[in-house]
Amino acid sequence: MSRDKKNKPTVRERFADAVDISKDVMLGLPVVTMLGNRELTIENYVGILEYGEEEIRIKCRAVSVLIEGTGLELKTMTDDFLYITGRFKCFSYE
Amino acid sequence: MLFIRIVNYIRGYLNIKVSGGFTERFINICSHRGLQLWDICAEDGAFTAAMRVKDFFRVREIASVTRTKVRIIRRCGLYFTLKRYRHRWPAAAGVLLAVLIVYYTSSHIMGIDITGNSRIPTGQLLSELREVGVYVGGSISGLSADRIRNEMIINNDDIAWLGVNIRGSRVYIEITERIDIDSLPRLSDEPCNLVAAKDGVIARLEIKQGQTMVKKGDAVREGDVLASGIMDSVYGGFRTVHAYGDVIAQTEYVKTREYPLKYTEKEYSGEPKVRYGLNIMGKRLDIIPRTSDESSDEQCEDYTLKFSIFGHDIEVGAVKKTIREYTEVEKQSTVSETVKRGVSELTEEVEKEIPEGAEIVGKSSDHNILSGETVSVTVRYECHENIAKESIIDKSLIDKNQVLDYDIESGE
Repeated sequence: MSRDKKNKPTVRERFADAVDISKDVMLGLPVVTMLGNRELTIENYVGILEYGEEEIRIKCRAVSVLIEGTGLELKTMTDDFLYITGRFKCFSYE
Repeated sequence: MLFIRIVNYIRGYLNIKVSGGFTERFINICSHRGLQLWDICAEDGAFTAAMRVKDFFRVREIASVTRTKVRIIRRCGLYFTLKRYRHRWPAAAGVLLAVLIVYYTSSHIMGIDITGNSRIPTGQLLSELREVGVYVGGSISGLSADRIRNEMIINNDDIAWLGVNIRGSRVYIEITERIDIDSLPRLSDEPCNLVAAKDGVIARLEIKQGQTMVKKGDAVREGDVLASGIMDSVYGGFRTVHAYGDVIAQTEYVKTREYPLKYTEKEYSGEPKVRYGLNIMGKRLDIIPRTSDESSDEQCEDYTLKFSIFGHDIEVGAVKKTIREYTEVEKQSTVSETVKRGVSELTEEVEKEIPEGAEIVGKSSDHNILSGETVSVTVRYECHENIAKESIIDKSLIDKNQVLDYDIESGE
């Protein structure tokens, strides 16, 4: 029962659905685009929590993102998005 | 990405290494303050990154807040490259000069090739082309082939057509000259036929006036009419013209001769001897008479004095004789030697017979051994030559009633 409640859409989500507004704007969710296991861009990030050659942890508004792999490199970083290259093994939300 | 890299290179950037303290925080603060970092690469707790030169002066505060140490690893960009090589300005000047030369040679005329002119001197054409903007060193941009052609044809009456091709930095001018009326053959009014001057097979016909009587591939004998000066007229009857033109036929020049394998050869003995004699009234008298019986070649040089006494012509002088004595030796040659000698001799003789302007299209030689002691050698040349020859038409043979008067020059 509690699991169903957890998965239940929030008011903001329902409002976004109702007025047809993009959820990344409404809920502050990260927009992640991956090109295979080599390139990745993340929009709507807040900051970098941890940075290493094999692990990068990124703070977004709603969630945190963990990227694991080898030879990770932060190619471009602007206020809005991050562009990461390398060989990704794992991508997870925390 | 390449474009961004080029822009960054032109603007200049620094490769920095950030170590110690809170490196992630350093990145975050830089990001929030609008200091761009790129190519961030982690290295054992530290990281390297690239950043703009002007932003670097703003990281001091961030470094102190995050307790990190920022160190410049490398300065990159156009400004730093130029600064590094500022003492090598001659190399840069050379590169600039090379670029300028390439630009100049590719955008200016580097050569003018004129073909097709035979009467109009090339120098005159070049000076006329200069007037219309085509000269070595002139700019290619703005040249219009149509304009050049029109202006050249207007300026020079001897040009019938002119083609202008601009390829790369060269201008190719192709000219067709107007036909020079003065150079055309002066035709008499006398009607004549074109007849074959020798036997042959017709290869090409260029009959300019007259009724063509043969076609390509026809075999003709000497005297055959190639183009008739009597032409059919649509108004009935005939008219007579002065036929002229070229009839190129394949002709053959053959020479055969028998060569004996045995032959005699002069074998000269000793040095040439010089003898002097007298020349009295055209008669040569030796001062010292010859005693040798050997055959000899004599070469005489006369030094005569002519005068007249009482109306009588007197001629006296000296004669210098160069005598070379020889004995005739009989020799035997091989077949191949004889054939080689025969071919060489006959080739020389045949080539003398071939008229000027004839084009040799084939030559061959063969031999035949006759009775074991004689070789028959044949040399054959095939030529293309004009065999047309004018032959006056006997007017008395033409029916006067059926011939129309025709004036060639007025064309009436």
